[in-house]
Amino acid sequence: MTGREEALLTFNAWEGFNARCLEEWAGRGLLPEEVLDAGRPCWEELGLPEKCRDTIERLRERQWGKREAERSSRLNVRLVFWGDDDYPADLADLDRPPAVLYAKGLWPLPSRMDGVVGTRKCSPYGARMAREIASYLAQSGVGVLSGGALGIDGAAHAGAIEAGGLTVAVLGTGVDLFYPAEHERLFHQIQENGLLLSEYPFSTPARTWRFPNRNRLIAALAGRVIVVEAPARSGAINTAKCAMVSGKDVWAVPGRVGEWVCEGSNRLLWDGAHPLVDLDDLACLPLPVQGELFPTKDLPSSPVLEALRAFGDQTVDILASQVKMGAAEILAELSRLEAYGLVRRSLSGRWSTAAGQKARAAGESKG
Amino acid sequence: MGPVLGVTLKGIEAVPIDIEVEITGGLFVIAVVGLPDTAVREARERVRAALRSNGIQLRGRIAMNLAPADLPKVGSLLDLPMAVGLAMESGAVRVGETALFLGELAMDGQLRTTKGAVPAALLARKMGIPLFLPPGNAGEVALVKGVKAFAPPDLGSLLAHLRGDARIPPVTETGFETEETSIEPDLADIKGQAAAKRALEIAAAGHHNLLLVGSPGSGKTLLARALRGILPPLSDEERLETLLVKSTLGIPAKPDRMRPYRVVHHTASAIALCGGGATLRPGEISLAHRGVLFLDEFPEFHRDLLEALRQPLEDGVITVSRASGSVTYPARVLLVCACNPCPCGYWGDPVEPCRCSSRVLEKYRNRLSGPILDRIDLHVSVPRLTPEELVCLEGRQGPSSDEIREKVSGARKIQQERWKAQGFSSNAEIPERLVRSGLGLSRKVRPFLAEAVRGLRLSGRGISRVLKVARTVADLRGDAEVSVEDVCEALAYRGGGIPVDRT
Repeated sequence: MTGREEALLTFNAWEGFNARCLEEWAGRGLLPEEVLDAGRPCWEELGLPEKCRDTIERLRERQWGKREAERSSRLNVRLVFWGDDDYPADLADLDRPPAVLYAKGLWPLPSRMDGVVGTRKCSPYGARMAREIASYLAQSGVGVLSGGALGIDGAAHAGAIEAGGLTVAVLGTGVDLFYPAEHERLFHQIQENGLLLSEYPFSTPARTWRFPNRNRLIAALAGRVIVVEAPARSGAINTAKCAMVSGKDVWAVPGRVGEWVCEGSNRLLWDGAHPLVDLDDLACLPLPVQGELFPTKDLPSSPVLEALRAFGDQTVDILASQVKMGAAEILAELSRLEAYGLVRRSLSGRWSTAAGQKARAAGESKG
Repeated sequence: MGPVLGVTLKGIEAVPIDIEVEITGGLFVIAVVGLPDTAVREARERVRAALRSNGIQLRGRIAMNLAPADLPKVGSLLDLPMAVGLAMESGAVRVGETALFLGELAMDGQLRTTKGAVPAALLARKMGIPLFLPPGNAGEVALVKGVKAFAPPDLGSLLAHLRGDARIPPVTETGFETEETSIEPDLADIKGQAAAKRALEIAAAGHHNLLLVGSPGSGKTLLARALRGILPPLSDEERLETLLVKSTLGIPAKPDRMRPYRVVHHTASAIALCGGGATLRPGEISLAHRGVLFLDEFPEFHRDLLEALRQPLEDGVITVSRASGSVTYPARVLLVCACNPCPCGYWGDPVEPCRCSSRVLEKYRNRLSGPILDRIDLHVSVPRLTPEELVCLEGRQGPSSDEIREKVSGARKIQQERWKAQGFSSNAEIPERLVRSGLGLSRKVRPFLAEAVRGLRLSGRGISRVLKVARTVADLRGDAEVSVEDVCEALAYRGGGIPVDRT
């Protein structure tokens, strides 16, 4: 651990610090370790506020930088510093790029990542879509980036992991914490299948202002941002705005008019975001060809599938009245289609067609 | 052993009690020894009054011993043998042949219905002695074959019988069998829910435990109640087993072959459910023996309670051990559980919004998993239909309970034939090794399953559950071979309906 790195870790404990400060100091011919050693008069001259000066002094006495570095090696967390070769180039253009990144899991970052974000209080439909979008992206070899929160974020991470892809969670807390606590297991899975990323020192607790702050990182790291469900005022909208400002593609999943949970995401559509009409629309980028578990050419033709495609979510009763088959036959047929990935269990005893390539192909082959 | 025997109950079993009486001169007093409980001790007043109303005046110091002396005697069923013992000792009658007496006395000598008649009848049959019991218990005892039972209406006619003055006709089997009563609700009267009805049919046929998941008002309770109507009627032997438990508690027997249907509320205690207490009484699970045990609001049940259900579900019997002894009760039940998809009940409902936070949902889901759920082969979502959907179903009617019961009985017979050698009677009971070898799977099933396992993420235990259910589906068709279609259908009853995929 060099003196520079220890100095960066110490300054990073003050939340007003970012890599732009380093550039400013460099303009005056000062290196960070020199600034740290120089003490209070120098700090005052550099315009550090009083509170910050107190904090830095205290941390310097306690050798914060060294201890933080020790903790990182103990917890198996990689520290990435401003100016390192592997510092993500996407972050360098930010107004306030982080000086230090804490990364727990599989470094480096996936070469290509899409952000999937949305509200914590999502509808079951939203959770399902987030999961499907994430699986779809993961299967196409794109990393799934999100914030590790409840609701859409969690569903997105889980979807990517299920599909065997990479996923990255940018956190508003220290990487050693599990926030929200419900996601402890998910976080463990994320670091095995990707990365937990944070600009905050270890054990930084969750505070409301830190989450909008980390959203700028999601927007910067993502190739594009897909908003699944978001109310009018929400972190996801904030992320989307950041992404739009930096000229990235923003997608939004259309939601029902009048439901508060998708008011913001629908408004994004009005503002010019791409509407996600079909999962395959996401494949505007060239996708690697995937091996198919069940080859599409052998797809069974099925009146049940056609009825589901025509009328949306159905109970077995309604299907029975439409296709004139017995409940037992219909259940058998639904299970068979489910095994082929063409049909899925919807909510409370209803069944629906699965979104995506295969289901559409199956529909067209009969159409 | 004296000629006058009574019984006391030890769990489901009747223990013979020897009644010994000694009358000596002195002031009038009746002393009862041999660990009588309050009901037995108070019997002396009933007995004295009943004897007096039959013209037998007791005098002197009377000591009564209930042997074996160290076994606690419980309940009012010893009234009659005590009265007969006293009558004999005071010289009013002679009891030549040893006999078993059972019954509670009214002050005027009438015999009141009591509990324990069926265990007593079994004991009398084993000992080869006649049984005297109240007329109210004659019906249930008539079903015990090979027992010589008499049901005198009152003490007077019993004493006359014993003296040889007026014979009482023995209890015969006639008169305690009614035509099958139709059961409400009939499946044909339940609108829609074709998938759930089919699951009921499979549950009844293969004795598979069933979980119904649905919003309030979707009809879970109605469906559970309808299950009773499609189960085949009790056989003689099964009916006797159910009577034995009922009789132990003094629940009057009904003259039909309906299977028991017991609903347990989640506030029930472990003792109420599994049996126990100072007298080691049987619990709801034993009362539901050979029938249906319905646990509504399943996730609300205390974890310990569900844990206690696990062993009886596996073994078909429950052993209740307390300081006062240990008793084994029968407990082969068809378990039906019902729950809401989430605490507010409307998760996934097309009309009502769900108001549960994700934390609450997570908690609920955790409560739903666990040892009992692993023993439930069939999981079914019961959708609450929207008004439009209800209109769409207008005028459509499924098969009636009677028709389905026919099919179920057929499938049960096939299973009994198949598993007779191994000692099982239904597909749900068979162990893992037979699932691997003895199910008669078609050649196409294995490759299909191998693929489905990957696509649907099935566990090992999940697969054997699916295969057992598929076996029952094939039995309902009357086919010796399990086809891919059967496995497909079985796959449809595997989970779902609980909010598991919301992260």
